[in-house]
Amino acid sequence: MNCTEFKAIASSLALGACDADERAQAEAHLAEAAHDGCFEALHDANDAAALLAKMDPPLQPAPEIWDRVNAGLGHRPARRRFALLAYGGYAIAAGVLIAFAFSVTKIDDRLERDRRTIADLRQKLDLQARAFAMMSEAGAEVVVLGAQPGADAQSSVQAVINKDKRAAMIVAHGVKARPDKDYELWVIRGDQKLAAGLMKPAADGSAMMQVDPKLLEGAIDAFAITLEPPGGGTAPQGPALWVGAPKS
Amino acid sequence: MPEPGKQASELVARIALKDKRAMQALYERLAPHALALARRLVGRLGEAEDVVQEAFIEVWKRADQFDPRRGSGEAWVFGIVRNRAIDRLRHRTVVLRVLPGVQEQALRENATVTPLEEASARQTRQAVILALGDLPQEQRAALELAYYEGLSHSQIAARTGDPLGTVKTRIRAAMEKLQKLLTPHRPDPSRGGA
Repeated sequence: MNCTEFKAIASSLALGACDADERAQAEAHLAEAAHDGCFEALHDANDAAALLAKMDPPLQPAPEIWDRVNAGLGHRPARRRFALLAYGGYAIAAGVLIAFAFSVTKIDDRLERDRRTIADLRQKLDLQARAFAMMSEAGAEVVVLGAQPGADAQSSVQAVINKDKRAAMIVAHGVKARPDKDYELWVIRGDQKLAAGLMKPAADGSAMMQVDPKLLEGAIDAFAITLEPPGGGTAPQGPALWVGAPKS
Repeated sequence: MPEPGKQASELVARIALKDKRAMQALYERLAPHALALARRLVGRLGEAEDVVQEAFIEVWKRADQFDPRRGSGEAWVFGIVRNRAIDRLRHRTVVLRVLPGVQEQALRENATVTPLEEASARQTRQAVILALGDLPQEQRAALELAYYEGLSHSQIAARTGDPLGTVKTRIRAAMEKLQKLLTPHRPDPSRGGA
């Protein structure tokens, strides 16, 4: 690509309209030493494109958006999401303690049930701890799965994902168990809908599950949770209640 | 005379040195426009806010890659916001195709927000709307498909049925006209072609 050819596509480059090979050629040209107005043409085009960003009246972001940006500057997880998980962690920890105190004061006929409860809570606590650990890692991303029609009004479902480590967890709150139905998680990749297991909410509406690392190999377009017949299936039949896409 | 684009460039340069006060100043200056752009592209206010959050964190991480020869700091930031929003749109397209039960309407909420607009911003916006209105319809369509929907030359050609060369010519002609019409409103009008 020479300078004349570059200047002919500078506008398209600024608009993001160049195809990948054309963009690569343009970048290679810009890396060359001598130019005849190439940067000036690109500068003018980029500034014109910036004006297209001002087609609508500016909107004042909610104050917490800056809080979340500010939290991200130190490479810490966003405060709002962290607080949500932290609250859940404390709640589960408190639950374990209460369950433990409860179990030691009861007679033998309740011991087995308490042991199962503690085991369940320990498992949840372990999952919660893993979610905490994941959120502290570089490359971790929190994906909000937006509620669709039919989802519980107060529900909140998030995926914590680290693609570099091929790890992902689903953390849900406010999800009610449905009689004769199961929630099933799907990993969406292109046209593929990969069954990723059943999400079983506890009595308090919380649920956590790990995603099979094999399903995280390659790009992920979205996570979706559908309502399916008991036991789920290999292809979604019911409505999608929560859907969210990773950023990249 | 204030030079808002130039100031943004200076703030980005300071952000490259990890100056958090510069980061906050840039956010306060550009986030309202960034949110409006993101909302135009993705529709949902909540998702647009996520786009703005992600974009400004990316600005913080990539400020050392900002090259003032290529455009103003403002143009660079809006480019990041746009790219983030287009990524979201692409993911959404996949979701809607693969999960037909998901309602796009539910992905495009109608939240009420209060516009924040100063007189200078309103003048710029009106100038952009007038300039776009001055373009021939086919040029405007090609430009909007590229910028607001993130389509490449070949994708626009496939969408409109026009030859690839025609699409490129239309985009170039449209941008040249816009540049002439909008010169007084450019983020960095002081550059003067140097």
